[in-house]
Amino acid sequence: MLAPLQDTAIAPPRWLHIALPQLAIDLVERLHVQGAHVVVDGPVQRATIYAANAAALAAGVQPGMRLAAAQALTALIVHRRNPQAETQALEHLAAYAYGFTSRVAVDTGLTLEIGASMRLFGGFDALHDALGRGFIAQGFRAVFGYGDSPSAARLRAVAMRDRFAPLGPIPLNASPLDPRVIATLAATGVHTHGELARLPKSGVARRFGQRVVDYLSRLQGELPEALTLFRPPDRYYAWLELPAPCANTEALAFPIQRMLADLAAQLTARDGGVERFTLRFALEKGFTGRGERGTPADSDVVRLDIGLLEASRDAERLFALTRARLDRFTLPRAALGIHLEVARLPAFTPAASDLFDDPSIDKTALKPLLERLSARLGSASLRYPQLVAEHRIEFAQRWDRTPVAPTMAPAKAPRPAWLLPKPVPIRIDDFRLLSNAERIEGGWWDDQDQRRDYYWADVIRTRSGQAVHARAYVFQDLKQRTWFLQGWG
Amino acid sequence: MHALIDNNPAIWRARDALQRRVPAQPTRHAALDAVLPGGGWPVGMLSEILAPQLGFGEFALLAPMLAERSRQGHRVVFVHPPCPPYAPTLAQHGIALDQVLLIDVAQERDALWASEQILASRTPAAVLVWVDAANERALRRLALAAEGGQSLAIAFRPLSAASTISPAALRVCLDAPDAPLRIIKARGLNCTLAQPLLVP
Repeated sequence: MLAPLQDTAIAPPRWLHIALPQLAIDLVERLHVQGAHVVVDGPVQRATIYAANAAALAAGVQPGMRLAAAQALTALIVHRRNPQAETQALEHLAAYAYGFTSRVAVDTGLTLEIGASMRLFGGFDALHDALGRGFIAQGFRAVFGYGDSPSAARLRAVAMRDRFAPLGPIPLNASPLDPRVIATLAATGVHTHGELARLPKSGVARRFGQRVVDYLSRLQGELPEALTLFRPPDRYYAWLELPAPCANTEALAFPIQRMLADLAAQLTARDGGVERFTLRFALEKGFTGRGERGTPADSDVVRLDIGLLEASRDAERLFALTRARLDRFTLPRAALGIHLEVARLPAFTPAASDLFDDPSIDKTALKPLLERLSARLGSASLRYPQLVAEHRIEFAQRWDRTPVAPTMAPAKAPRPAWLLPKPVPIRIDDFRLLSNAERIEGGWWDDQDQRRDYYWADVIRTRSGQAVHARAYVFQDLKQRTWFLQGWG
Repeated sequence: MHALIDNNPAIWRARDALQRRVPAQPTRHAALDAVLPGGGWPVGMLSEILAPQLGFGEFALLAPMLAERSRQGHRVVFVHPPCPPYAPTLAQHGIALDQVLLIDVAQERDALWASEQILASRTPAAVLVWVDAANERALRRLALAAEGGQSLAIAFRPLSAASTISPAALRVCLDAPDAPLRIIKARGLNCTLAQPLLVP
């Protein structure tokens, strides 16, 4: 019974720091599945390995190595470190973490105050698991460090210590102190936080500056920390630079899927959905074919707007819609990168359930289906019938782009099953009239005055001379005395 | 005699077994339901209506089924018809207009794609799609998409296609508005239809 005692005796920590030591290579691996990849830093001529993936490490590549030396070991796919992308990823993750607690700060990692949210998520373990799963699912390797102060949490995360690990034995090189201070301290035989804490404070302040003393005080929670809290933006913006220029929309699907998954993760965290989003493809310069990479001019951007019928945060659904549009989309030139933008993040509302009355019918299948159809065919291609209180045949119905609940009772007289979009002039000699006339008049009020006699007829001869016996709905225009075909029975 | 056979569980009738095997939606035309395997339009399969053009009684043939389906909350989808249906007539025949959808596309390719999407989704529907005479592949795709689902797929083709091979489970020819229906194929019917089955 001793081990659990320790857990209950120690109050749950208030602070969580999430370190992302593999961020640079995570960003590469999120887009590439195979091969030995390295991220390099430093001047082009003397590039050194900043980070390497598992395949590269297995081949003997080490961070800090010169690129030329690493390339001698194995075939490498080289990426230049992209601090902008790293910042963007951190902000994305901050927005994701914001779904767990409203107190999030971003520096080289994320600092979260979790004291208040622990109860909400069902205790410390549940919160830890939920956050951990979220980061892994998004392809980020995170190290969690807990503490009673932000500095303590950060130190445990950077040093990869668990939440019970004492801070004293942690080496000073895991601290955010100036490396020169750490080196000087090491020269005097002070290597760990514990050793530093044992030195007289006044002496430390005099020799190494007040900063070092303040750091120790913050670590022990004696000095409050001023954190700049993250505020999630109301619009979403992400930019992805493609590993190589790409004109094939099929090949763009994978990176786009990744970007939409990120968006979906944030929407889940925010408990919101999107109704429309925009993809912009930054293209190569038109003249040279392989232009400079940089901020593209307006004319070098192709835009793809994707709209949904209702707000959604389902990554698969967002991607399926995009996919349908991409299938029939051609890029004029190769794309260098992709922007994903959501101008408005509306509140998420669960799907309405009043579409059908039959409980055996899957109500969730219809909306995505209609979305898929309108995404590919265009919203004008989907039409819903509506009845209009009108005598004139062609005005008694409308096919609208949005469904309307019909309330009108239709006329009793037999009407055609199919209505031609416009009446077609005919020679009445080709038709045999089968019924008496039904006079339909009206329209003086809207300048579409009609006086017509409608008949059911049998077509006996078509223009090609063939005899056909289709049921036709024809009328004679009583003003002009001419005959028209309006529909089929 | 009939009562004797019907009430004796020991007597097994091949016709019953065949009818049970085909899930179907009654056409509500008594003479037609009596002869069709399963007693109606085959569900989860492709049916074909062959007629020279609109106005051959196709609407009267389909309307009772469409009305019944729509009232059960199934979608009634018209894909790529030569001209749009007339909503007041749909309502007159008891078709719930809030279930009706018209898909108006310029190309048959899009019409097929849309039909496939609807048939393959979990939304039960009656899909009425107009297909070019020569497009065998289109029919195979539709038959495949319909297979095993809860939906009805009905393809409209010109009468000239009657002589070609089709993957449809049921093929009905409309020769004239008042002429009897001609069934030229009905999967599950335990006879080869050397002579087309005429239904008044």
